[in-house]
Amino acid sequence: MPKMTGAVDRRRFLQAAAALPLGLLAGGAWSAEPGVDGGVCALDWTSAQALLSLGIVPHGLPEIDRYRRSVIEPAVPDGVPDIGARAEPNLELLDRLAPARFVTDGMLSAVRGRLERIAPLTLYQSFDTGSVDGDRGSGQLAFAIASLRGLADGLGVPDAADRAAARLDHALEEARARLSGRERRPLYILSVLDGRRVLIHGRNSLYQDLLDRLEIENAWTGPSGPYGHATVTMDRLTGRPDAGLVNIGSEGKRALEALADLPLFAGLPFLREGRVTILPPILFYGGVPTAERFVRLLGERLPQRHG
Amino acid sequence: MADTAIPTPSRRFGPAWPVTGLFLLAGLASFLVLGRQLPPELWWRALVDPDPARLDQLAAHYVLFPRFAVALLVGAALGLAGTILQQVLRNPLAEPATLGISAGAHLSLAVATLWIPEALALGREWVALAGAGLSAAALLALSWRKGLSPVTVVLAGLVLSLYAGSVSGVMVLFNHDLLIGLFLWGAGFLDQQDWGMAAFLAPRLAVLAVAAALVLRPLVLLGLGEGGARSLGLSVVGARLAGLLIAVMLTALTVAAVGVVSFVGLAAPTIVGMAGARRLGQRMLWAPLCGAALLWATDALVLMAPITYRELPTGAVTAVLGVPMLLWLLPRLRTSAPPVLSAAAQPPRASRPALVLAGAALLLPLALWMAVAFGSGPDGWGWSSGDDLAALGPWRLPRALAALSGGAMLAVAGAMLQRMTGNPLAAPEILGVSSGAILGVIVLMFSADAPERGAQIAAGGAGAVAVLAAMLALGRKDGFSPDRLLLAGIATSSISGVVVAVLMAGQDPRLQTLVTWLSGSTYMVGWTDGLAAVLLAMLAIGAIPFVARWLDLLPLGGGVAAALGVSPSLSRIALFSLSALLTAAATLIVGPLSFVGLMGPHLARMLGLQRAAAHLAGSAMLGGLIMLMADWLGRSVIFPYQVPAGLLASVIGGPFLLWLLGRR
Repeated sequence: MPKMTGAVDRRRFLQAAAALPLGLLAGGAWSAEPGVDGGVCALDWTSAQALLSLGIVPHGLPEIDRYRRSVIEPAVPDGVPDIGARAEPNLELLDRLAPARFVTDGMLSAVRGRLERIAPLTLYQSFDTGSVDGDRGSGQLAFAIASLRGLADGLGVPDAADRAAARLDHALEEARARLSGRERRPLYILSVLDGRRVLIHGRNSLYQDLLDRLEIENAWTGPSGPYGHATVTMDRLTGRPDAGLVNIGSEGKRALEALADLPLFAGLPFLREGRVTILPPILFYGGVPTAERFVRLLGERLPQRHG
Repeated sequence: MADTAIPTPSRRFGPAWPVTGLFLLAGLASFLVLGRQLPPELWWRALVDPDPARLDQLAAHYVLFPRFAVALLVGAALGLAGTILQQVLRNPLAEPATLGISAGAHLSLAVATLWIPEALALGREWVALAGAGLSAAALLALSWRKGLSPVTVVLAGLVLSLYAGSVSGVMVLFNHDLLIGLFLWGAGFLDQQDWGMAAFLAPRLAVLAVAAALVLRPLVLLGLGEGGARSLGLSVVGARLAGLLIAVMLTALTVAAVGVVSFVGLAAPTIVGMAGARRLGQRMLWAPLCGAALLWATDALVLMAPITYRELPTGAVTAVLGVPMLLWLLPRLRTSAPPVLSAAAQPPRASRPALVLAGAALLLPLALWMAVAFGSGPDGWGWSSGDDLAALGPWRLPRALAALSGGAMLAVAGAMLQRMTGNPLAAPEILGVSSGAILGVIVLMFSADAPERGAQIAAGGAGAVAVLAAMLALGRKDGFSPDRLLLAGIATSSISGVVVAVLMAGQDPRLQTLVTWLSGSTYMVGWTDGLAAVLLAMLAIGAIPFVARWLDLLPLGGGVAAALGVSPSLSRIALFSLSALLTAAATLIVGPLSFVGLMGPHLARMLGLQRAAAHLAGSAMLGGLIMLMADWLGRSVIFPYQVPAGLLASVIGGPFLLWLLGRR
């Protein structure tokens, strides 16, 4: 299987990429001026992130309040209409908003036909679920950048994607500078789920590529699923005594403190020696904007904690 | 779900044999698991005095050994609880989960997580216990008037757990990120991080075991039947209540500790009973041992499973193992004649059922017009007409039609099932075909890239038909005894529940749309399926005159029906298949969840529609109206967000339904 992955990835990516111009042709002429001419509506959070990072204010996006709490960046300006739940954006409202185009990650395929009656769809997939765990380097970053470029080209703002990619490069450089001269410990990148179990990011996650760029080793080399993560109990994190721990999501702090009080985890070096970094929430699958946020936050907060 | 009893096994092996065998299996698997972590000479050291500097010893001491201990304790508690429940309810299929205790505990945890997190600081155990206690109290209140009759208790428990499940469903739908930990907990993971849980369980279970021993004698007398027990001077209600209380507390403790572990409470007493433990005293000794060995063995096997990106909850594994056992047990159960609804409990018969039906029929177009024309939008509530209405119609009308038709189909299916089984709680939800549809859609979702609506319907339909065929094959042996078909349906339903729980635990973003569909949303309905639903509902209503005679005659008993020229088994196949097909179609259109299959028929009865034809037609109209209103409300109350119609119908209609059933 692993031998096939290159071909599979490429094929899947080409499929996704090929869908972009097709959708665009159906929509007729597209203004080079972003955010005008009826606007672009994001049907999910990763699409909203992508549009905002391209400098386009979406004409509608789902669950805005929760976006502001859980995704945070890029910030949504006031006045953007809330189109309802991510699983069920309100079709009646979408029809009334009459955007010139939808951007979707493809999760709403069941209502595709009815969405297309309102406006043409552009498929934007920022995460490659076909990448197979076990590769060296996940390829997720390249996939995300190519995907964002495809979106920007289709929307007539190719330069915006270059700028977004440049911002990411800049964030990477800055983080590297902040981390330079320090001992690079391997890191577990995880989110505490319920006090016993964590969601941990593996070799086919976006974070793997970012850690590679920062020359930091991912301490989790165990299995991970199609979305780049695995659900494991904390006691599985005993393999790398020298590692540090990065928890994504502020609410994990209390759970980790409670865990550190247990005799079992008091023995885990990263808890015992306080090598724990808490990052605010980051959307796991969000591509370039997610990468930029993660790298910047890691660069800011890691040096405070890790020796 | 009449009185049923395990036939006397022809050859007795003695209960010690299966229990010893299970313990050997569990021990062997545990040795292998331990051996992967530590060399055998260090096991003792790791158990009693681990080297704090050695992570492998610490992990054995704080993870593996306590996990074995918790598996043993929980298994024993469930075995004991199952034995007591089976004795008290005189029903060999009774087990802790069917009482709705676990669902109640799950719900209380969700409520506490969202709204009163301070309560969780006291300990999840206490919060869960409160919920378990409340749902047990509701169960007792519901079945009290019937003198805690076994059938009523089991069915009330089932309805309660469906209800608690749907309330948790709403909360998860809108707070998925906050409650994901709860999904993990609900799936029945046994893993431990210290000895705390074992230390919590052991003394409490010991106290309850002593209490159980104290009520042994009254429980034995209960086994003589109500008349026999009463003539020996026993308070039947008091003895049942004491037994139920102990079993409920045992269940609540295990649920609070590890979540839902189903079927151990069913399997343990059954295994020792089949092996020859006949007297209650024997069973109360051996069943806990058997339960302990069973859960330990299952858990050790789970531990031996290869490591992947998602963990396998032991509770889900026991449920899957339990299904074939339940299906194997079914043909071996003796069922008695279907219970006849007591005449006194029936509401008065309407003098002019035709007038009632005509009134309901008049309401339909009015309601449909309101559901489409009146609603909330970005500018608030309002009526729309003219161009506005023409613009909104294509979005609202298909959903309204689908809700109306789906509700009608479910209500007709429910009314047929209830009349056929003589069982007021026979809901189409527990038929198992919905479960087949869910599994079909899940398989498609995880094998195809971006399935469209048509493919989803085809996959769901295939799953439902497969389950229907399996159930018909299963029921052929015993002339399609309705009780057994219902029970087999419950077993099948539990499979899809487990699959969904395991997927949820794996954190897959694709599940979001699945969750909304599972909670009964008409969101995905377009013109094609909306009109197809109308057509199917018309066919269902058109079939009423053809099945009405069967439904009037079958409750009189197979003999009477046959004498009047109705073949009991043929008519049962036809009725069962028809209700299954209607349920499957409705599931695909409006999702598998709603109590409309119970509410429609019961409301129709309350309005005095007693004869089968009028009852079915009335059920169809009322069921349709309920779903239509639920869909309209769900689309409007929190615009632009939407509450799935099935969920809304259950949450609002559920308490009313429970009140209605408790009153009867």
